[in-house]
Amino acid sequence: MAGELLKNLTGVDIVHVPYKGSTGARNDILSGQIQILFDSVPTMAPQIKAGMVRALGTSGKMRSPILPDVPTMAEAGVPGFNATLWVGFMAPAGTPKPIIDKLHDEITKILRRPDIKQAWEKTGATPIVMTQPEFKSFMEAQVAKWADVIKTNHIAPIN
Amino acid sequence: MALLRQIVALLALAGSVIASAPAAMADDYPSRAVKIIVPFGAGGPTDVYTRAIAEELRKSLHQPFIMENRPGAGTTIGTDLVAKSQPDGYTLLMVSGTQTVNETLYAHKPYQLMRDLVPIAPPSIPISCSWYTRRYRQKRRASCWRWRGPNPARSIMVRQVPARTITWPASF
Repeated sequence: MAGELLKNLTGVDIVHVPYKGSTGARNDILSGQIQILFDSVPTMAPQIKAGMVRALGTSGKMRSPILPDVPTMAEAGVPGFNATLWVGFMAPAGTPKPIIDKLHDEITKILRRPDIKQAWEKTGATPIVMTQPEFKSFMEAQVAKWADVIKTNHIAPIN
Repeated sequence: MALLRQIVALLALAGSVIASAPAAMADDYPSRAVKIIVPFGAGGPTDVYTRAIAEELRKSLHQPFIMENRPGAGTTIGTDLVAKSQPDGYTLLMVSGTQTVNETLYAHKPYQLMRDLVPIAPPSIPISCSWYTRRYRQKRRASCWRWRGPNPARSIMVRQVPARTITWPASF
Protein backbone atom coordinates (compact mmCIF):
# COMPACT_ATOMS: atom_id res chain seq x y z
CA MET A 1 0.00 0.00 0.00
CA ALA A 2 2.96 2.33 0.54
CA GLY A 3 3.72 1.69 -3.12
CA GLU A 4 0.23 2.74 -4.09
CA LEU A 5 0.72 5.91 -2.07
CA LEU A 6 3.95 6.55 -3.98
CA LYS A 7 2.07 6.14 -7.27
CA ASN A 8 -0.65 8.38 -5.99
CA LEU A 9 1.70 11.21 -5.02
CA THR A 10 4.12 11.05 -7.94
CA GLY A 11 2.18 9.66 -10.86
CA VAL A 12 4.99 7.13 -11.44
CA ASP A 13 3.55 4.10 -13.19
CA ILE A 14 4.32 1.03 -11.11
CA VAL A 15 2.25 -2.12 -10.98
CA HIS A 16 1.75 -3.78 -7.65
CA VAL A 17 2.07 -7.56 -7.62
CA PRO A 18 0.92 -8.91 -4.27
CA TYR A 19 2.97 -11.27 -2.12
CA LYS A 20 1.35 -13.39 0.57
CA GLY A 21 3.63 -11.89 3.18
CA SER A 22 6.78 -9.82 3.40
CA THR A 23 9.14 -12.83 3.72
CA GLY A 24 8.80 -13.87 0.08
CA ALA A 25 9.24 -10.30 -1.11
CA ARG A 26 12.28 -9.86 1.11
CA ASN A 27 13.91 -12.97 -0.37
CA ASP A 28 13.18 -11.73 -3.87
CA ILE A 29 14.68 -8.28 -3.34
CA LEU A 30 17.82 -9.86 -1.88
CA SER A 31 18.17 -12.20 -4.83
CA GLY A 32 17.51 -9.42 -7.32
CA GLN A 33 14.18 -10.78 -8.59
CA ILE A 34 12.40 -7.54 -7.78
CA GLN A 35 13.60 -3.96 -7.86
CA ILE A 36 11.78 -2.01 -5.21
CA LEU A 37 10.29 -3.02 -1.90
CA PHE A 38 8.79 -1.29 1.09
CA ASP A 39 9.72 -3.18 4.24
CA SER A 40 10.31 -2.38 7.88
CA VAL A 41 13.52 -0.79 9.11
CA PRO A 42 14.10 -3.38 11.87
CA THR A 43 14.05 -6.22 9.32
CA MET A 44 16.09 -4.51 6.62
CA ALA A 45 18.67 -2.41 8.50
CA PRO A 46 21.10 -5.36 8.79
CA GLN A 47 20.80 -5.98 5.03
CA ILE A 48 21.57 -2.30 4.30
CA LYS A 49 24.58 -2.38 6.59
CA ALA A 50 25.78 -5.56 4.88
CA GLY A 51 25.49 -3.82 1.52
CA MET A 52 22.86 -6.25 0.21
CA VAL A 53 20.35 -3.50 -0.58
CA ARG A 54 20.37 0.22 -0.89
CA ALA A 55 17.97 2.35 1.12
CA LEU A 56 16.21 4.97 -0.99
CA GLY A 57 14.16 6.62 1.69
CA THR A 58 12.34 6.09 4.94
CA SER A 59 8.60 6.37 4.69
CA GLY A 60 7.87 8.27 7.91
CA LYS A 61 7.90 12.01 8.59
CA MET A 62 11.18 11.73 10.52
CA ARG A 63 14.39 9.91 9.70
CA SER A 64 14.96 6.59 11.36
CA PRO A 65 17.26 6.84 14.39
CA ILE A 66 19.20 3.78 13.24
CA LEU A 67 19.54 5.01 9.64
CA PRO A 68 20.33 8.70 10.14
CA ASP A 69 21.91 9.05 6.68
CA VAL A 70 18.85 7.78 4.83
CA PRO A 71 16.55 10.64 3.79
CA THR A 72 12.83 10.52 4.38
CA MET A 73 10.75 10.01 1.26
CA ALA A 74 9.66 13.64 1.55
CA GLU A 75 13.30 14.78 1.67
CA ALA A 76 14.07 12.50 -1.27
CA GLY A 77 11.54 14.31 -3.41
CA VAL A 78 8.08 12.95 -2.62
CA PRO A 79 6.43 15.62 -0.45
CA GLY A 80 3.52 14.41 1.62
CA PHE A 81 4.72 10.82 1.68
CA ASN A 82 4.05 9.27 5.06
CA ALA A 83 3.35 5.57 5.46
CA THR A 84 4.69 4.06 8.62
CA LEU A 85 4.28 0.62 10.01
CA TRP A 86 2.74 1.00 13.45
CA VAL A 87 1.42 -1.23 16.17
CA GLY A 88 -1.23 -0.64 18.81
CA PHE A 89 -3.82 -2.31 20.99
CA MET A 90 -7.60 -2.40 20.73
CA ALA A 91 -10.34 -4.01 22.82
CA PRO A 92 -13.90 -5.05 21.93
CA ALA A 93 -16.37 -2.13 21.96
CA GLY A 94 -18.16 -2.01 25.30
CA THR A 95 -15.08 -2.83 27.37
CA PRO A 96 -15.46 -0.76 30.59
CA LYS A 97 -13.64 2.56 30.34
CA PRO A 98 -11.77 2.12 33.65
CA ILE A 99 -10.17 -1.05 32.22
CA ILE A 100 -9.24 0.72 28.96
CA ASP A 101 -7.82 3.62 31.02
CA LYS A 102 -5.80 1.27 33.18
CA LEU A 103 -4.30 -0.51 30.17
CA HIS A 104 -3.62 2.81 28.43
CA ASP A 105 -1.85 4.21 31.50
CA GLU A 106 0.23 1.07 32.03
CA ILE A 107 1.31 0.92 28.37
CA THR A 108 2.15 4.65 28.43
CA LYS A 109 4.29 4.16 31.54
CA ILE A 110 6.18 1.36 29.79
CA LEU A 111 6.69 3.43 26.63
CA ARG A 112 8.04 6.40 28.61
CA ARG A 113 10.77 4.29 30.22
CA PRO A 114 14.22 5.33 28.93
CA ASP A 115 15.44 1.71 28.83
CA ILE A 116 12.53 0.68 26.57
CA LYS A 117 13.01 3.73 24.34
CA GLN A 118 16.72 3.03 23.98
CA ALA A 119 16.28 -0.69 23.32
CA TRP A 120 13.60 -0.08 20.70
CA GLU A 121 15.42 2.73 18.95
CA LYS A 122 18.40 0.46 18.44
CA THR A 123 16.14 -1.75 16.34
CA GLY A 124 14.55 1.17 14.47
CA ALA A 125 11.26 1.49 16.34
CA THR A 126 10.07 4.61 18.13
CA PRO A 127 7.77 4.21 21.14
CA ILE A 128 4.88 6.64 20.67
CA VAL A 129 2.79 8.08 23.46
CA MET A 130 -0.71 9.24 22.57
CA THR A 131 -3.84 9.88 24.60
CA GLN A 132 -6.80 7.65 23.77
CA PRO A 133 -8.58 10.37 21.74
CA GLU A 134 -5.34 11.07 19.88
CA PHE A 135 -4.91 7.39 19.05
CA LYS A 136 -8.54 7.18 17.94
CA SER A 137 -8.11 10.21 15.65
CA PHE A 138 -4.85 8.76 14.34
CA MET A 139 -6.59 5.47 13.46
CA GLU A 140 -9.54 7.24 11.85
CA ALA A 141 -7.14 9.34 9.75
CA GLN A 142 -5.32 6.14 8.69
CA VAL A 143 -8.58 4.50 7.61
CA ALA A 144 -9.51 7.63 5.64
CA LYS A 145 -6.08 7.94 4.03
CA TRP A 146 -6.02 4.35 2.79
CA ALA A 147 -9.63 4.56 1.62
CA ASP A 148 -8.53 7.52 -0.51
CA VAL A 149 -5.45 5.71 -1.89
CA ILE A 150 -7.56 2.64 -2.73
CA LYS A 151 -10.22 4.75 -4.45
CA THR A 152 -7.75 6.96 -6.37
CA ASN A 153 -5.80 3.98 -7.68
CA HIS A 154 -8.92 1.97 -8.52
CA ILE A 155 -7.83 -0.97 -6.40
CA ALA A 156 -10.52 -3.64 -6.52
CA PRO A 157 -11.88 -4.61 -3.09
CA ILE A 158 -11.33 -8.18 -1.89
CA ASN A 159 -14.54 -10.06 -1.20
CA MET B 1 -43.72 9.99 52.47
CA ALA B 2 -41.66 7.43 54.35
CA LEU B 3 -42.09 5.05 51.41
CA LEU B 4 -40.96 7.73 48.99
CA ARG B 5 -37.90 8.43 51.11
CA GLN B 6 -37.12 4.71 51.14
CA ILE B 7 -37.41 4.54 47.39
CA VAL B 8 -35.16 7.56 47.01
CA ALA B 9 -32.66 5.98 49.40
CA LEU B 10 -32.77 2.73 47.47
CA LEU B 11 -32.30 4.54 44.19
CA ALA B 12 -29.39 6.47 45.63
CA LEU B 13 -27.86 3.23 46.87
CA ALA B 14 -28.38 1.62 43.46
CA GLY B 15 -26.74 4.64 41.86
CA SER B 16 -23.70 4.36 44.06
CA VAL B 17 -23.36 0.65 43.31
CA ILE B 18 -23.52 1.30 39.59
CA ALA B 19 -21.03 4.15 39.84
CA SER B 20 -18.54 2.20 41.92
CA ALA B 21 -18.77 -1.06 39.97
CA PRO B 22 -16.50 -0.05 37.06
CA ALA B 23 -13.92 1.47 39.41
CA ALA B 24 -13.84 -1.73 41.45
CA MET B 25 -13.60 -3.68 38.21
CA ALA B 26 -10.50 -1.70 37.24
CA ASP B 27 -8.95 -2.16 40.70
CA ASP B 28 -9.30 -5.93 40.41
CA TYR B 29 -8.27 -6.00 36.77
CA PRO B 30 -6.61 -8.14 35.66
CA SER B 31 -7.49 -10.99 38.01
CA ARG B 32 -6.61 -13.67 35.47
CA ALA B 33 -4.63 -14.13 32.25
CA VAL B 34 -5.25 -11.63 29.44
CA LYS B 35 -5.15 -12.85 25.86
CA ILE B 36 -3.72 -10.67 23.07
CA ILE B 37 -4.78 -11.82 19.62
CA VAL B 38 -2.16 -11.10 16.96
CA PRO B 39 -3.75 -11.43 13.52
CA PHE B 40 -0.34 -12.10 11.92
CA GLY B 41 2.07 -15.03 12.01
CA ALA B 42 4.71 -15.05 14.75
CA GLY B 43 8.08 -13.36 14.31
CA GLY B 44 7.27 -10.27 12.24
CA PRO B 45 8.18 -6.78 13.44
CA THR B 46 4.68 -6.01 14.72
CA ASP B 47 4.63 -9.30 16.63
CA VAL B 48 7.99 -8.57 18.24
CA TYR B 49 7.00 -5.16 19.71
CA THR B 50 3.65 -6.40 20.92
CA ARG B 51 5.42 -9.28 22.64
CA ALA B 52 7.78 -6.83 24.37
CA ILE B 53 4.84 -4.80 25.71
CA ALA B 54 3.00 -7.96 26.77
CA GLU B 55 6.02 -9.00 28.82
CA GLU B 56 6.22 -5.60 30.54
CA LEU B 57 2.46 -5.67 31.25
CA ARG B 58 2.88 -9.09 32.84
CA LYS B 59 5.51 -7.65 35.18
CA SER B 60 3.57 -4.52 36.13
CA LEU B 61 0.04 -5.99 36.35
CA HIS B 62 1.09 -9.40 37.77
CA GLN B 63 -0.96 -11.53 35.39
CA PRO B 64 0.12 -13.33 32.22
CA PHE B 65 -0.49 -11.45 28.95
CA ILE B 66 -0.59 -14.31 26.47
CA MET B 67 -0.03 -13.71 22.77
CA GLU B 68 -2.05 -15.83 20.39
CA ASN B 69 -1.23 -15.66 16.68
CA ARG B 70 -4.36 -15.93 14.53
CA PRO B 71 -3.25 -15.10 10.99
CA GLY B 72 -5.46 -15.39 7.95
CA ALA B 73 -7.57 -13.46 5.45
CA GLY B 74 -5.32 -10.41 5.67
CA THR B 75 -5.82 -9.96 9.47
CA THR B 76 -9.62 -10.04 9.24
CA ILE B 77 -9.95 -13.44 10.97
CA GLY B 78 -8.07 -12.44 14.13
CA THR B 79 -9.64 -8.97 14.20
CA ASP B 80 -13.14 -10.40 13.91
CA LEU B 81 -12.41 -12.84 16.72
CA VAL B 82 -11.68 -9.96 19.11
CA ALA B 83 -14.56 -7.83 17.79
CA LYS B 84 -16.90 -10.66 18.84
CA SER B 85 -15.22 -11.42 22.18
CA GLN B 86 -16.58 -10.51 25.62
CA PRO B 87 -15.83 -6.83 26.26
CA ASP B 88 -14.29 -7.56 29.66
CA GLY B 89 -10.66 -6.60 29.11
CA TYR B 90 -9.46 -10.20 28.88
CA THR B 91 -9.26 -10.36 25.10
CA LEU B 92 -7.26 -7.63 23.38
CA LEU B 93 -6.20 -7.12 19.78
CA MET B 94 -2.90 -6.17 18.27
CA VAL B 95 -3.74 -3.61 15.64
CA SER B 96 -1.51 -2.27 12.88
CA GLY B 97 -1.75 -0.22 9.72
CA THR B 98 -2.84 -3.33 7.84
CA GLN B 99 -6.24 -3.32 9.54
CA THR B 100 -6.80 0.33 8.57
CA VAL B 101 -6.06 -0.58 4.94
CA ASN B 102 -8.34 -3.61 5.10
CA GLU B 103 -11.19 -1.47 6.39
CA THR B 104 -11.64 -0.39 2.76
CA LEU B 105 -9.90 -3.23 0.93
CA TYR B 106 -12.09 -6.01 2.34
CA ALA B 107 -15.59 -5.19 1.19
CA HIS B 108 -17.46 -7.91 3.07
CA LYS B 109 -15.82 -8.40 6.42
CA PRO B 110 -17.96 -9.24 9.42
CA TYR B 111 -16.91 -6.25 11.56
CA GLN B 112 -16.23 -2.53 11.36
CA LEU B 113 -12.90 -1.65 12.90
CA MET B 114 -13.74 1.70 14.51
CA ARG B 115 -17.28 0.67 15.48
CA ASP B 116 -16.72 -2.78 16.95
CA LEU B 117 -13.38 -2.13 18.63
CA VAL B 118 -11.98 0.66 20.80
CA PRO B 119 -8.41 1.93 20.55
CA ILE B 120 -6.30 1.61 23.72
CA ALA B 121 -2.76 2.79 22.99
CA PRO B 122 -0.08 2.79 20.31
CA PRO B 123 3.13 1.15 21.47
CA SER B 124 5.46 1.77 18.56
CA ILE B 125 6.12 3.04 15.09
CA PRO B 126 8.96 1.25 13.30
CA ILE B 127 9.66 3.54 10.39
CA SER B 128 9.48 1.80 7.05
CA CYS B 129 11.80 2.09 4.14
CA SER B 130 11.87 1.78 0.44
CA TRP B 131 14.67 -0.33 -0.94
CA TYR B 132 16.61 -0.83 -4.06
CA THR B 133 18.81 -3.82 -4.69
CA ARG B 134 22.51 -3.34 -5.16
CA ARG B 135 22.62 -5.93 -7.91
CA TYR B 136 19.83 -4.17 -9.72
CA ARG B 137 21.59 -0.83 -9.40
CA GLN B 138 24.78 -2.14 -10.93
CA LYS B 139 23.10 -3.95 -13.78
CA ARG B 140 20.47 -1.42 -14.60
CA ARG B 141 21.95 1.96 -13.91
CA ALA B 142 21.93 2.88 -17.58
CA SER B 143 18.24 2.31 -17.95
CA CYS B 144 17.18 4.23 -14.87
CA TRP B 145 15.51 7.56 -15.10
CA ARG B 146 15.40 10.26 -12.52
CA TRP B 147 12.15 11.48 -11.13
CA ARG B 148 12.58 15.11 -10.16
CA GLY B 149 10.63 16.28 -7.19
CA PRO B 150 10.75 19.79 -5.75
CA ASN B 151 14.26 18.99 -4.50
CA PRO B 152 16.11 17.62 -7.55
CA ALA B 153 19.34 17.07 -5.66
CA ARG B 154 17.64 14.42 -3.61
CA SER B 155 15.42 12.84 -6.22
CA ILE B 156 14.81 9.17 -6.07
CA MET B 157 15.75 6.79 -8.80
CA VAL B 158 12.95 4.77 -10.29
CA ARG B 159 13.42 2.67 -13.35
CA GLN B 160 10.88 2.39 -16.10
CA VAL B 161 10.37 -1.31 -16.45
CA PRO B 162 7.77 -3.65 -17.83
CA ALA B 163 4.96 -3.44 -15.33
CA ARG B 164 5.12 -7.02 -14.17
CA THR B 165 8.63 -6.79 -12.74
CA ILE B 166 7.92 -4.40 -9.89
CA THR B 167 6.27 -5.71 -6.80
CA TRP B 168 5.87 -5.37 -3.08
CA PRO B 169 4.01 -7.16 -0.36
CA ALA B 170 0.27 -6.74 -0.19
CA SER B 171 0.44 -6.99 3.55
CA PHE B 172 2.12 -3.63 3.95
